[in-house]
Amino acid sequence: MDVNCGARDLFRVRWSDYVAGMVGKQFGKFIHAAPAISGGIGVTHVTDCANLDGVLASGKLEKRWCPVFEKDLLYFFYGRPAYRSKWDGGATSNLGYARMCFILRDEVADKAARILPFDSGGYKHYQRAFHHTLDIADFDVEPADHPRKIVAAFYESFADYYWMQPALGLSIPLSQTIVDSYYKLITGGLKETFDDRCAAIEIQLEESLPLTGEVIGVIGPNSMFDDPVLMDQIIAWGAEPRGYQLPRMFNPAEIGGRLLDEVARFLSDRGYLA
Amino acid sequence: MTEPLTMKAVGAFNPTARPIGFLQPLFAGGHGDNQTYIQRLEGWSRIGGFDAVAWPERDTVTFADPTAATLGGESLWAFQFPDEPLLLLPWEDFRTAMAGRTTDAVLADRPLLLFDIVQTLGLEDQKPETFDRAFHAYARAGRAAAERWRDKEILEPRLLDALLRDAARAPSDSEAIPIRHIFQARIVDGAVRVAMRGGASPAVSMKLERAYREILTRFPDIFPRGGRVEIENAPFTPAPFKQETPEPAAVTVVLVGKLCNRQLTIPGLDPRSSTEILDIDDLPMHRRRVSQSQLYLLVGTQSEWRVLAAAAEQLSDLPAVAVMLTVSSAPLLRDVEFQGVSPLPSVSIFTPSGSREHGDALRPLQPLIDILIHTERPRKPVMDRHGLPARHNLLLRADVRTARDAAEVCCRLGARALRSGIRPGARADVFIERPSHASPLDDYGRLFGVLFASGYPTQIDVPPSAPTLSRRLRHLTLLVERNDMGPRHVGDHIIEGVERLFAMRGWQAKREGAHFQVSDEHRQFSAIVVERKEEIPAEEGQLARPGFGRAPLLVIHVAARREALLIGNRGEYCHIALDDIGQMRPGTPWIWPVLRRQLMIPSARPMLAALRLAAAIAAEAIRLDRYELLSEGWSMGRILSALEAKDCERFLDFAPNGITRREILLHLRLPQSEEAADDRPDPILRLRIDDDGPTLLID
Repeated sequence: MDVNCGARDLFRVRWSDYVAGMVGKQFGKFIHAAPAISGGIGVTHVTDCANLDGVLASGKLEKRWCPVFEKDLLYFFYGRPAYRSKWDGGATSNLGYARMCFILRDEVADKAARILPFDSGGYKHYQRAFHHTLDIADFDVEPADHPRKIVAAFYESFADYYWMQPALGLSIPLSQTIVDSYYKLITGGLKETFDDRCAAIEIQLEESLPLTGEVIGVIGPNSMFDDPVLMDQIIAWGAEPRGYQLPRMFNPAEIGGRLLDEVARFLSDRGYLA
Repeated sequence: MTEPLTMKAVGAFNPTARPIGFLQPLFAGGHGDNQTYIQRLEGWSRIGGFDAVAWPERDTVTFADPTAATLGGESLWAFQFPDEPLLLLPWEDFRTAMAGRTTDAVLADRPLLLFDIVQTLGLEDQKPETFDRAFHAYARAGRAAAERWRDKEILEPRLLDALLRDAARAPSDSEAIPIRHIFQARIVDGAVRVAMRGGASPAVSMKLERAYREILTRFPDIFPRGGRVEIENAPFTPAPFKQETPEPAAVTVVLVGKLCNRQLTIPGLDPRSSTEILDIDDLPMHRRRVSQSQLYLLVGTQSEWRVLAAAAEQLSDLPAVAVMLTVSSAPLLRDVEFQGVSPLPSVSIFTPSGSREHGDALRPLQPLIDILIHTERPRKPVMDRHGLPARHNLLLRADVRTARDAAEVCCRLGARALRSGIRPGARADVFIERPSHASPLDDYGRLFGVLFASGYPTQIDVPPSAPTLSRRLRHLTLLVERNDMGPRHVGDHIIEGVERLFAMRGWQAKREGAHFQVSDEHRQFSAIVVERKEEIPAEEGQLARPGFGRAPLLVIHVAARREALLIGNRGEYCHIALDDIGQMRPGTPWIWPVLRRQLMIPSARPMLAALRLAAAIAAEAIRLDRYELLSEGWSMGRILSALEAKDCERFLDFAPNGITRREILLHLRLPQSEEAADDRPDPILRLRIDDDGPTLLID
C-alpha cells in the first residue's frame, strides 16, 4: 500500500467542483502573495519495499485510483517524507514494510494538479479542530504556485519546514481566518495537536511520473540495493542510492524518525538542506 | 496497561518481503488477550519493553515452538535464509550463529545485506572486507554517492561510538535532542568535518582524531589518507532562505474594503511607475519579503472611511498616503471624521465611477503617482514629508484640451475645489502634463494665485513609451489643501471663493450684503450665490420672454442641478452653476456659451425643461433675426407662437438623438389651420448656440 495515498478519508466531492472552487480562496491568495525563494528541498514519494517491483517494471511512479476524488492520482510531499513521527504504541499500530523514499527534483511540483499544505489523508483529524464551516478546499493552493511559497509563508528556512519549526509570532490579519487556522494547526495552537502530516505539503499529480531525469535519490534498506535490477535502474535514472541499516527500524523509537533522518541527511549531503 | 514481564516470540514479520534477511520477532503475552507485541530494544542486546502492534496482514511466519523473552533480558533476533527454517535466537546466540554464516554462498552477491549483518552484530574482524565490498557496491552509482553513504553509515557511527565509549552519558542535552541533531560527520575535501552542537573541547577533539586514525588503519581502502579532523560549532542553525527578493516597487498600492479581491493589475497604470498592487491582508507578507517601497498608497472608498482609517494604522510606520476615492464632490461629515482619526496624510480623489469597476476606480491614482514619484519640484517648507501641500488634500483634474483659455479651466477647477470644501487661500500645487496646452505655464500659476496659495506650476513629463499615451488626455492637475472643512466655514468659503473666481475670470466683484456687484469696463450686473433651492430669489411677475442677457440678476448655484438651471433660465433671471463662471468671458455675450453647456453637455437627457428652454432660445433666435428658412411657405408667426407657448411641448418634441454637441433638433407639429391644409410634413428646427448667440434653421 502506498503510504502517501492522501485524501483517502475525505468526504466525496466532484473533482471539477473541487478545482473550480479554489479560485480566489483566501488561503490560496495568501500563499500566492508569499515571496519567491530560491533553492528547494525536492519532492518525496514514500512507498513500501513491497511496491518496488512495480516501479522497476514500469520505470514510473504510477497514479492510482483515488475513490474520494474518483480520479487516478499520484501523491507526493514537498521535502519531508511525512509519516507518523512518533510510535504511539497503540494496539492498532501497524508495522508496515520497510520504506523506500524517492527524492525527486523540485520541478516535479510544477506538474501539480493540486497542492495542499497538509497531508489530505489526515484532514478528517484536523477538521475537528477547525471551525466547522471550513473544508479541505479552503486550504487549496494554486497549482501554479510552487510549494516553496508555502514554506516561505510560514517558515524562516527550508530546515525549519523540514523539522516542523514554523516561524513564531507571524502577524496574520484578523480577516485571514483560514490562514490563521492553518498557522495554529502547524504551531500547535489548536485544541488538539497532530503529527507531522499536518504540516507536510502535499502535491498531487494527475499523471504517472516517469522517473528518468526526475529522481535524484532513492533511499531504502541497504539490502534492497543488492538487487542489480534496482541498482541498474537507479543508475539509469541518474539517481543516487542511499541505504540505511534495516535492523535499526526494529526499534519502535526509530520507526517514525529514521526515514526522516535519512532523507534529511541525503538533502544535507547534497546541499539542498542547510 | 501494565507491561508484561515475559513474552513468547510466536512469529516474525518480514519487512522487506524478500526471501533473505532480518525479520522482526512478534510476541504474545499469553494472557489470552490475543495482543501482539514487538520488543523495545536497549542497544541491540537487551529488551527495554514491549509495545503493542497489530498483527501484520502479510509476510509473517509463525513458530510452532515459541521462544520466551523477558523484560530486561536478552533480545531475540530472527533471520531468514532461503529454503531454511527461520533462525530465531537470543542476541548472543544469534551473533555467534550469524558470524558463522557470513561466508554462505547466498550472501556472496549480497554485500549490502552482509553489511547490515556485520554492522548490526558488531563482527569487527569481518568489517574491513565487508565494508569494502559494500562501499564498492554503492560505487557503481558513482564514487561520490558511495562516499556519502560511507560517511553516514560508517564514519559517523564509529566516531560517535568513540566519543561515547568512555562517557557515562551522551553529550549534554542529548536526552532532549536526538543525537542526529547534535552530531554529524562527513569527509569534505579530504578533511573530516564533525559538526557538534556547542563545539568540542580539546579532549573531545583528540578523541575524535584518534578514532579517525583508527578508522584509517582499519579501512584504508575506503577512506582518504591523511585527513584531518575539523570540528564545527553550531552547525545546526538552519540557513535562512535565499529569497528571490524582488526589487521593491517604487509604489505599492494597498487596497482596502470592497476594492480588495479584485484583479491584480490596474489597466492604464503607467508601467514606469513600477507599481505593485496588493490587498491590505497581503501587507504583512509583503513587508516580510520585500524592501520598503518608495511610496505606499492606501486606497479605499469614502463610504468605507472607517475601514480606511483602521487600515492606515498598519502603514503608519511606512511612507504612506491614504487615498480616499469619493463619488461626491461635496464635503461630508465623514471626510472631517476621517481626517480626525487617520494617522496618515490623505488625498481625496473624485472618481465618478466609484468602485464599481476596479480599473476605472484606480486609474486616477496615476497622476498622484506621477506627482509624488516622478515629478521633481522644489521643496517647500510647508510641504509634508511626501511633498503634499498639506496633511489632507484634494486632487482635481481638468482636461485642458477642450478649454478655450487658461482662465476657463482654472475657474472650472477652482469652482470644483470650492464645492469640495476647499477654502480660498488654501495651499495648492498645480501640475500640467507635457506637451501642454498652448497656454504658458505661468498663466496657470498667475490665475490659481488669485484663488489659492499656489506656487509656480510644475510640468509632468509623460513618457512617449507609455502604452497609455494615446488614450491619455492632457490634464491640469490641482493638488490642494483640504484641511479646515468644518461645516460652519463652507458657506463663507464659497462666498469668498466666488469673489475670487470672478477675479480669475477678469471681473471685478464687490460684495454688498448677500449680493455681488459684478462689473467690467462695459457693464455691471448683480449676482447672488445660492446653496439651496429655497434661497433662489422669487421672480417678480409674469414674463413674456426669458431674461437671457437682459436678466437683472445672475443666480449662481453652488449645488447646481441641471433641471433647476434649465427651468430658471426660461425665467426672469439668469441661472448658472459655480463652474460656469469660467465661461463668463468679459466683453462677450457669455450667456450663450453658458446656455449651450447647460443644454448640450454630452450626458444631456432630453427632459421637458430642456425642451422648453430650447424652444425659448429658438424663439430668441427668430426675434434676433438669426434664422433661416430652408423651404418656403412656413408662417414664422405661427412657428414663433408655438415656440413661445407656455406649454410648447404640445407642438414640439426632440427629434430622435435630438441633442448633440453641435446642435439641437426639434420636431415641430404646427396646429392645423387653413394655410397648412396641405400635406407637407412638419418642420424640423435645427438650433445651434454659438458664442455670439443662437441660430435657427427651419427645414
